[in-house]
Amino acid sequence: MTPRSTAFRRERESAWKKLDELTTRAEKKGLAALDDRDLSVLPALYRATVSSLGVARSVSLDANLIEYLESLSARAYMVVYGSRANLVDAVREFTVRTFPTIVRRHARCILTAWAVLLFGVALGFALTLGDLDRYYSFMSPEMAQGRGPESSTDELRDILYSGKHKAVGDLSQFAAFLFSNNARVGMLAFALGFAWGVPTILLLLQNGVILGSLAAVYHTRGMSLAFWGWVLPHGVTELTAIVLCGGAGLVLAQQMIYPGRYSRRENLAVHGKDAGLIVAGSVGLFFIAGLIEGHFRQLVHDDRIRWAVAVTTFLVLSAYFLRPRRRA
Amino acid sequence: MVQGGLLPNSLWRRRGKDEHDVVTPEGVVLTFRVADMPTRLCAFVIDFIVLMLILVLFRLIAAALASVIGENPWTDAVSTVVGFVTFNFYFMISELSRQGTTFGKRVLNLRVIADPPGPLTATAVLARNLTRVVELWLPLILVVGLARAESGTPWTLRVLSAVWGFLVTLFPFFNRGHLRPGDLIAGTIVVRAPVARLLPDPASARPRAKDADARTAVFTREELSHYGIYELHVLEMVLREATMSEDETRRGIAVNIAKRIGRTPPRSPAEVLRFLTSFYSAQRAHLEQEMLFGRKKVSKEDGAKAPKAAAKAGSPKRIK
Repeated sequence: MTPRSTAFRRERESAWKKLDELTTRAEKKGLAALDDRDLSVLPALYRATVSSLGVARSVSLDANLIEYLESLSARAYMVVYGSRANLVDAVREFTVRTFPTIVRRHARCILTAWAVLLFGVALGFALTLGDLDRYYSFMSPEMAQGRGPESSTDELRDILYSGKHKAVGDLSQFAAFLFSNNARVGMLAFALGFAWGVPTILLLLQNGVILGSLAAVYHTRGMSLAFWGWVLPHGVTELTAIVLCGGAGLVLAQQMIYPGRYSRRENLAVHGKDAGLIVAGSVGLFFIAGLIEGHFRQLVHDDRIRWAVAVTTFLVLSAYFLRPRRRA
Repeated sequence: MVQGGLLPNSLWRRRGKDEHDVVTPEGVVLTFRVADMPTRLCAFVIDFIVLMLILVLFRLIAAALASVIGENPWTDAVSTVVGFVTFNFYFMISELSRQGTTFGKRVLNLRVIADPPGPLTATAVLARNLTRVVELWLPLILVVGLARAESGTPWTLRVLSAVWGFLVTLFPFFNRGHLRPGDLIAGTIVVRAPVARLLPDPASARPRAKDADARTAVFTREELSHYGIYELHVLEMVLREATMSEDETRRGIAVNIAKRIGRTPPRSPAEVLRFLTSFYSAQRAHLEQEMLFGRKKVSKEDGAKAPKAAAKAGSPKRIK
């Protein structure tokens, strides 16, 4: 007495074998390995196999058969529903569509982060102008790197244009260090958004104050223009990236404080993805800023070129994020 | 109750904690097994080694170029860019062009799939890989920051951030799907996709009419009602691995079965094999028929308690 499932298997086995072969080829070499004829039968074979699986689960007691069909269906599922885009399309879709859209969606939090940062800069500037000794309470010795109100004007000027003396091989390490340092500030600002945004705001304020304080020192020597020409070429990009990370942290904070209709966990899950994507995109911005800061700034000393680059980056970023877009 | 074909049949397989169900657009539920941490770590190490080799190759090319062109600051900058880009894009390009695998993942049969089931979008692949930089460097950066005694931020903040940095990197250990933060953002999950082989059907051997055993190969309904599905699967395993299981085991099983159903036990190994094969065919046909009528007999205790997973191959002795 032979079971019914034997006949069932005999009828359909050739289709499964064909799907197995196509799937194995696609797994080894990618979908490009299949020619047009194979690609046109692949979905039909997949559906036939999946339907066989359904029938086998109800009707057959052959454990190996069901295990095989489950495995084959799973593999075919991943081939049929796998990713089909190539890298260029992916990068283009992310940079052109996804990233700006998400940033604009959370514009309020990001503008808040900008406001906090700029307020910090103004605060540091004003306070240090009032009393130069306050510089030392804002700046830690290792960040100051020996510059301060007591340095001579020549020393301060030297720092702005010191790239001439740095060895070429050091530049990459310097750039890498800057990248990691700035990325660290950004990641912290994002991560600590969980703590109701308070550390994020403090971090943004602190960085703003440090910057403003240093600007005040240079201002008293009449080197404001040169100073901002030293900071802004990479600073525009870098500050944007930090502000984006801080804004993402504030997005998280907002979900914690005002969950609205959904529970906090659900909110975090949905908006956490957005916030994470913002941070992922700002990694790219940090990298660009690190390059400019590490390489460009040390190699180019003309103030006009530096200012030109600063203004260019500002315009490019504004156009990128603020460009009016059709509702997709 | 006839089990619907849409749901995975967990009758003889205990559902493990690492199973991840995907409802395909066709309405069938496919069960994947979530990749465990050791496997993922191995795959990552393999990929990392490949990546390092590629980067070393680039460095060599850059050095060769430098010796030709001369020391030039721009080659340094370019090599930094290339290094960063390669590090991120190696994973991205592989996962995009190969349906969610990289070389290391393929060696270990791992795949990336989308977690709300559906196509694996390019944005998801991008997002899940951009965070690798953070996950790898963050704890190092934060620990270095911790070690530096003089810094602008108070030490409590530095300790907290170092701890948080470690949590980010070790995040996959703490959640059920072993998701990296990148997986969480992108909505993906890494699963195992082992390849199964279709073995010949033991029930498809046609009985030869001239055989003396042919008449005795017909079993009555009464004889077939002793055992259930669990025992059937154990018998299937024994028959499939006929080269591996010993004659003694098979003979012992045949004797037990014969005693239970009230027949003379077969003696020679050839008889044993024929007896077991024909009993298997008949038993399976009977149980499948019963299943169609909604009378599913799970095991010889008639479903009084759930059977253990039939994957334990040592259980042939349980057929009494």
